[in-house]
Amino acid sequence: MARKKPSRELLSDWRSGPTIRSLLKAISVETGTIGRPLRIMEVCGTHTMTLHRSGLKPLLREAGVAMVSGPGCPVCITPDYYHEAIIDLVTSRKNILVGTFGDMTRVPTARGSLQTTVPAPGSEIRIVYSPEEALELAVKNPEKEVIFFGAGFETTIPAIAFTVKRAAAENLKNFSLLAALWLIPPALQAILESGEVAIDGFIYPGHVSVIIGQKAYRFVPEKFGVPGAIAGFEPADVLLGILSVARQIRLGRPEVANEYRRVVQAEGNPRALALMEEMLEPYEADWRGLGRIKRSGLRLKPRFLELDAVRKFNLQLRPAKPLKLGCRCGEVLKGLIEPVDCPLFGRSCDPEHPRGPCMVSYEGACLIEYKYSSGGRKQ
Amino acid sequence: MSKRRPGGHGQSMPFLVSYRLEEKMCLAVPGKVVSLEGNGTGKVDYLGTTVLANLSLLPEVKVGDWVIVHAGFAISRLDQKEARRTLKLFKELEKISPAD
Ligand code: SF4
Ligand code: SF4
Repeated sequence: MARKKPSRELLSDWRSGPTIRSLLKAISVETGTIGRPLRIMEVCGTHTMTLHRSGLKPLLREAGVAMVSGPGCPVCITPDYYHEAIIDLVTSRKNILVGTFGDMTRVPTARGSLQTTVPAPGSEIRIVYSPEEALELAVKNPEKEVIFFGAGFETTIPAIAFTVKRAAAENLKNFSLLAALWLIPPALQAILESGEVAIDGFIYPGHVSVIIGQKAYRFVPEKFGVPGAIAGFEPADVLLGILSVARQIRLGRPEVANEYRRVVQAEGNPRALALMEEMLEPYEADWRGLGRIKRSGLRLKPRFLELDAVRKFNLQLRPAKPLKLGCRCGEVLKGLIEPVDCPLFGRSCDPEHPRGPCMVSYEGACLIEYKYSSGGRKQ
Repeated sequence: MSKRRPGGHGQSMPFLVSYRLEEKMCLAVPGKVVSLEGNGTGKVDYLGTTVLANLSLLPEVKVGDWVIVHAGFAISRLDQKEARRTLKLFKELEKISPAD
């Protein structure tokens, strides 16, 4: 394929050794001045990934910063009963086609996983990469009821809202959405209010921030006096975010810094925000680990109820009895424990046989820890 | 996938946290818009792999722009000027705070 090479600057290295080392040095100078180690929560699972795969965690520890993983992955925080409701439906009814993201199919529940379950005749579960792919399945399979089981944070929600709007506009009768849509700022507020984890600052998720912008986090410094920075996903990006947080702490001036300015606009993506506003409304959603949080989830507005799978198929989204699997994912998601503190980690729970969602998702703290640290090498 | 797979060793990739595209639900990756295909869609090139993306969330996007694509939708433009500014900051930092 004939292509022009990207310009030189665009290929400059965001992982260059000297840059990484000077950033780490600058961070350790800040923590040295502050005079105590810092605990910073990376909200997003993709940041957890960057920290592990680039080997930054131990280096940061030396520089006086302990990184704590947050709730950062929609697969991990979606409660089991969403999966169970879909499994019940697809095993009991014919001609149901469920489209969902790959990670979602492997979450283990008391009723098995979407991957292992045996659908009723004519029913099936398909992995899709985009919500629009699910919509196209509905167009191509008019004899089937297509349900898009969509989990996502603000990054993904506009794509889902757009797709549902298209389905409504095209008057597609055999398409519906099972919405597992979660909002980051209310979750951060809940973590701060619970006071269970002592956090000196946040690294805000870069691609959630692309949509919601900087002001959505303003309550964090204003109400709680906690610093934070929006960061990108290259090693130097994350370090720049951490340096910013450390500086804010030293200066005693907490704010919402944007250290991912090449991608994140202060006001977010207005078109995406308008679309979310048009299609969806907030409600008190139930997060795995964090529990019920006011206005922390989005669901379709009443006028789109026909496209709501919960309503259309009378799905029972009720918290079942908590599982006695011994999985401590909930505590991992709140930053209360590290994956290695879970007695099952690397023993009866590994990527081949996950006992909980944190070992399933590519952004799950347990899977990342397993892949990049001792867990994977234990045997 | 292309031979020039994003994030291969020894390759310097500017904005990419590299995973396999199809595996990652929540990954958002940068690519360059190479053509507009009508209906709010366009082709986006990820250093060798070209994928059709929905550009409706970025009404002002043009051929040649770098964009961040997530779940089939371009969600943000990548501002090259800002990218250069951050890289310059790194260079300055390397001078002020050299790693010894
Ligand atoms: S990339 Fe998005 S969905 Fe994935 S962990 Fe980060 S914020 Fe969550
Ligand atoms: S190691 Fe497995 S069982 Fe333990 S918290 Fe993580 S996912 Fe759950």
